[in-house]
Amino acid sequence: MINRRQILILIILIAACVCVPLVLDAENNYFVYYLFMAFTYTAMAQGFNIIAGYTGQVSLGQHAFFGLGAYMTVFAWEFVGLEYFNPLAMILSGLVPSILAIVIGIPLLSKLRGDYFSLGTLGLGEILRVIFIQGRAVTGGSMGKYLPSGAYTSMLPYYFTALFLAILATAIVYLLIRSRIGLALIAIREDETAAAANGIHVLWYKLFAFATCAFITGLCGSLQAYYLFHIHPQNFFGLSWTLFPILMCVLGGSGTFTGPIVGALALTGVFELAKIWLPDIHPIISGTLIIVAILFLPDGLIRLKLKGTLDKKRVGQS
Amino acid sequence: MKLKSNFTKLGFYLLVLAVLTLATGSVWAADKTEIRIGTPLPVTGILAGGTLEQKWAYEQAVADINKEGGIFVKQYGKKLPVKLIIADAESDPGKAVAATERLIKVDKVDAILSGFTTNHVIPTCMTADKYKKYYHATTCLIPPWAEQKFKWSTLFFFDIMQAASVPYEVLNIMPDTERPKRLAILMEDTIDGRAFGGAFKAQAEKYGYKFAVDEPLAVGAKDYSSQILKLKTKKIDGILLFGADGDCVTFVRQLKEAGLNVKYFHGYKGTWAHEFYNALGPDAEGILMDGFWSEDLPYPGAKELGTRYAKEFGKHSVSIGLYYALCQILWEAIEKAGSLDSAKIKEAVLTHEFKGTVLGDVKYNKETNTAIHLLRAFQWHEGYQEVAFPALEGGWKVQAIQPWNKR
Amino acid sequence: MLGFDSIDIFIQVLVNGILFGTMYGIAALGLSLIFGTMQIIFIAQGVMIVLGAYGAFWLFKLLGVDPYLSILIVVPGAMLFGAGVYQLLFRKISGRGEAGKAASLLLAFGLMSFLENLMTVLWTPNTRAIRTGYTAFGFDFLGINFSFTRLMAFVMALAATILVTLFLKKTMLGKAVRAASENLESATLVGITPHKVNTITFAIGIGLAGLAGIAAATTYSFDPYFGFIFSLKGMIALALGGMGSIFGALAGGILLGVIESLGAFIWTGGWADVLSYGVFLVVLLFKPEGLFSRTVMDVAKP
Repeated sequence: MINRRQILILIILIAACVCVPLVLDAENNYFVYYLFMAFTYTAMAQGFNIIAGYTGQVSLGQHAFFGLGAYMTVFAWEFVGLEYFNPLAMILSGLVPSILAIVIGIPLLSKLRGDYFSLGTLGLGEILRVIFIQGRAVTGGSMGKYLPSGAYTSMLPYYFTALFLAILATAIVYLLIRSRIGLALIAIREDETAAAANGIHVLWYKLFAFATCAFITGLCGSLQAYYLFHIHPQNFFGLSWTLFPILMCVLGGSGTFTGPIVGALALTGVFELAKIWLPDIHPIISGTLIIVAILFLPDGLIRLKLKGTLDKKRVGQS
Repeated sequence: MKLKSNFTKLGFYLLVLAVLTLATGSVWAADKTEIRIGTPLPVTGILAGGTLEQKWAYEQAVADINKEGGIFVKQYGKKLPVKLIIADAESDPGKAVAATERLIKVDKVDAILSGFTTNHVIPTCMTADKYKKYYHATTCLIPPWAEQKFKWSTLFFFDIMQAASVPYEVLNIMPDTERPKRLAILMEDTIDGRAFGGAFKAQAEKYGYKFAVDEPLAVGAKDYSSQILKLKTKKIDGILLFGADGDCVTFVRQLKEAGLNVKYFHGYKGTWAHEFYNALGPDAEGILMDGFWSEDLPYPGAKELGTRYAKEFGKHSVSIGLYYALCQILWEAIEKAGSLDSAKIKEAVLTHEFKGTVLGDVKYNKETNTAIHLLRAFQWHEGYQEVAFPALEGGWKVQAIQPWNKR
Repeated sequence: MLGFDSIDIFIQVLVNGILFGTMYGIAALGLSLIFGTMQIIFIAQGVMIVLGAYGAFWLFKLLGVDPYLSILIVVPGAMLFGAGVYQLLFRKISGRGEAGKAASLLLAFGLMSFLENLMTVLWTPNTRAIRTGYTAFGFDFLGINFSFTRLMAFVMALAATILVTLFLKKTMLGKAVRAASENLESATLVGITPHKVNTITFAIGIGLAGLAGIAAATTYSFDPYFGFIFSLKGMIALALGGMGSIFGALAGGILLGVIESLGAFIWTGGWADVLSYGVFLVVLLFKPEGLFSRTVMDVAKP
C-alpha cells in the first residue's frame, strides 16, 4: 500500500510548486512554462494510468478526447458565452468526452480483445479529426477556430489550473487504489475471466476507467485551448497528445501511483532541454532516449529498485 | 526500501529542476555584445522540407550584414553583430508556440523573425503579443492575421485578392486558340487552400471565368484518380490547383497516366520547388506556378542572391528574395530605431520606406501594419522558372502546355 | 446515377481503387505477419517503407539501378535490417504480456521518431523522387486506363503474398512461424525457439516493407515523414482484412482503396477519409477478426 512518507513528500512537493510563481517571474521565466506543460502531461499520464496501468486496456485514442474537450471549450465560449477560464465550460469539456467514451466504449470494450481495442481507439481519434475537418461551418473546418487572444492577462491561471489538474488526476488514482473500485480494476487487468467469475461486472468498471481517463484528458484539452487561443484539428487531434502521455506513464512506471508524475516531469524536462541545447538533432536524442529507456527500464523509473526481486508490479503497489 | 528509490527519484527531479533553473536564469547580463534575433521555424517534421529556403535566406541575410560588422545601434554607440537563433517549431502550431516561448524566455531574443505558414505565424504572433516582443512576420495570409489585431507584429506578404487574380491575368494573355475552354479548380483542404479557393472564385466572377469542376483535395492523399476521372468526363482542359508539392507530383503523374491533356495547369504552393521538376522532368514543361520573387527581377542584389543560391544547391528559387528582403527591412529598421526596444523597432518598420531591397522598395501601411508585394506567376521551361506574369520586358512569354506525347 | 455516367466509369473507379489499395495492402502485409506472431502493432512499418524507398532512390541516383531491379538489393537488405531490429531491440521485451504490448508499441514509436529524424539529418528533408520512362506512364487496355507503376505494385504485392503464404504453409520454418503465432508456449514445448521464429518474422515483415518502399518510390515523391500515413492506413487495412491472415491483409488494403476511390468519386476527397475510418470502426465492432479471416480466433472475451 501507499506509504505515509510518500504522501508527505508529495505534499511538500506540491507546496513547493505552489510557491514557484511567487519566487520566479511567471511571465518571463521558462521554468514556469515548463512546469505548466509538465503538470498537464502529468494529468494526462495519470489518465492513461487509470485505463491502462490499472485496468489493462491500452487505449490509443486519448487525442480524440483531448481535441473534443478543446472544441467544447470553444463552442462554450462562442455559442453559450462561457468565456475565459469559465469553470462550467471546463467541466463541460471534460464531460462531453467522457460521455463519448461511454458511448463508444460499450461496443469497443465489451466485444474486443485488447489489441483490437487499441486499434479501435486509434481509429476513433482519426475519425474525429477528419470529421472536424469536414465540419466547415460549425467547427471552422481545417481553418480551425480562433478565440479572442486579448483575454490573456497572465501565466498564473494556467500554471495553477495545470497544477490543480495534476493533483486532481493523482488524487483520483490514489482514491481508486484505496477503494474497491481499484481492486476490481486490477483484478480485471490480471485476469478478466476470473474477475467476471468472481462477480465483477467487468464492462461497468472498464467503462468507468475509460470515462475517467476521457474526463481528465478533456479538461487538459480545454486548458490547452485557453492557452493557444487557436484550435485546429491537425494540432489538437494530433497523435502526439496520445503518445507522449503513454510514454511518460510507461517510462515513469505504469500501474503505480507516483510513476506518471515522475515520468511526466522527467520526460518533459529532457525533451525541453534537448530542444534548448541540441535544437538540430533533438528528435534523434528523444527517439534514442525512448528506445534506451524502454529496453533498460521496462518497468519504469519508479520501479528501478525492483530489478532482481520478485515481480511486484502485478499487485499494483507503488 | 521503497523510500530509497523514491528519494532517488526526488534527487533526480531536483537535479532536473536545478539544471533548468540555471538554464533559464539571467546568464545574458546587461552588456550587449550582439543583437539576438529568434525565429520559430519547423526544422523537423513534415514542414521541414518547405522551410529550407527560408532558413537559408535568413542565414544569408545575417551573414551579409555581419560581413559589414553588424548593425549600428545608436543606443550602444557601436555596430553590433546579429545572431540568428532558430527554435524548432516541429511542424506543429502548439510546438511553434513553445518554441517562441523558449526564444523569448530562455534565449532572451530582441525580436522575432517570422515562422512559416499561416497556421504557425498566427499563434506565435499571439505569443509575441503576450510578452510584448516585436514579431516581423511573413508567409501568413493577411485576412485571418488582420482579424486578430495584433499589437506587436507586422506582416509583409501578398494581398490574397491580387494573388487570386493572377491565373485569370495569365489566361487573358494567352491567345484565344490556346486558351482553355473548361476550367477546374481543385483546392487542398487546409487554411490556405480554403482561403485561396474563396478568393479564386470571387476573382473568377470579376474576370468572367467559370469553373466546370470545383472540388477540394484531401491533403496527403495518395491517389487522385477519382478526381481526374471526373475531370476527364467533364472534358476539362485547364486546371487551377492548390496543393502540397508531394500531392502535386502525384496529381500530375496520374494526369499523364490517365492521358488527360490540359492546355493550362496553374499550381499554387506545390509546383514551384525544383523537387517538383525533378520528379516530373519534361512532364512539368509548361506548368505554371506561383512565386514571390525571381533573380531576373530588376532589383538590386536579386541576381547575385539567385546566383549564390544556384551555386550552392544547383537549382533556382522563387522564394528566397522575400525572406532576404524581410531581413533587410528588419536590419534597416533596427538601425533607424537606434535601439533594440520592440516598440521602437515596430515604429521604425511602420514609418520608414525601405528602398532597394531584393524585392524592390517596400512601404508598410500604418493603419493595417502590413506591407504588400506582388504574387507572380512563373512557368516551367527546361528546368527553369521563367517569369510569366507580370511579364518582364523582352522576357519569357506564357505558352500553352503541349500534349503529353509531345513533351 | 451518383455521377457514374456509364458502367465504364464505374469499372474505371473500381480498377483505380484496386490498384491504389494495393499500396495499402503491401504496407499491411508486413504488419499482418508481425502482428500475427508477436501481437505487436508495429507502428514503425511506415518508416521502414520510407527507408526502402530511399534505398531504391540512392541506388538509382548513384548507381543508375532501375528501381524494379533494386528489389534484389533492397529486399534482402531490408530483411537483414529487420532481423537486426528484432535482435537489438524487440527481443528484450518480447513475450511479457500486456505490459510488453505497451512497451513494444512505444519502442516502435521511438524507433520511428529516431529513424525519421536521422533521415532528415542525413539526407535533408527535401522531397525526393525517381524519374524513369515509366514513372508517369499509363496505358489503356480493354477501354480501362491503367497506371503502370501501380499495376506493377499490384503484381509485386500478389507475388509477395503468394510467396509468403507458400513459405508459411510448406516450409518447416514457415510452419514454425505459424505454430508460434497460434500458441507460443506450445510451440516452445515442441522445440521451436521463439526468438528464432520472431527474428524470421521480423525479417520477412521488414523485407515486405522494403518491397512496399520500392512500389512507393516508383509512384510517389517522398520525404522522411512520408511513411506514417502508410502505417495508419496499413493498420486499418489489417483490421478490415483480418489480423492474422496474409491474403486478408492484401484484400483489406484493396478494399480500403476501393472504398476511398468510390468515396472520392461520389462525394469529394475529404469524405473518403471519413468513410474509410467509419468502415474501419464498424468492421472492428461487428467483425473484429476481419472480413476475410477464415480462422476463428479468440477475439472477444466474456
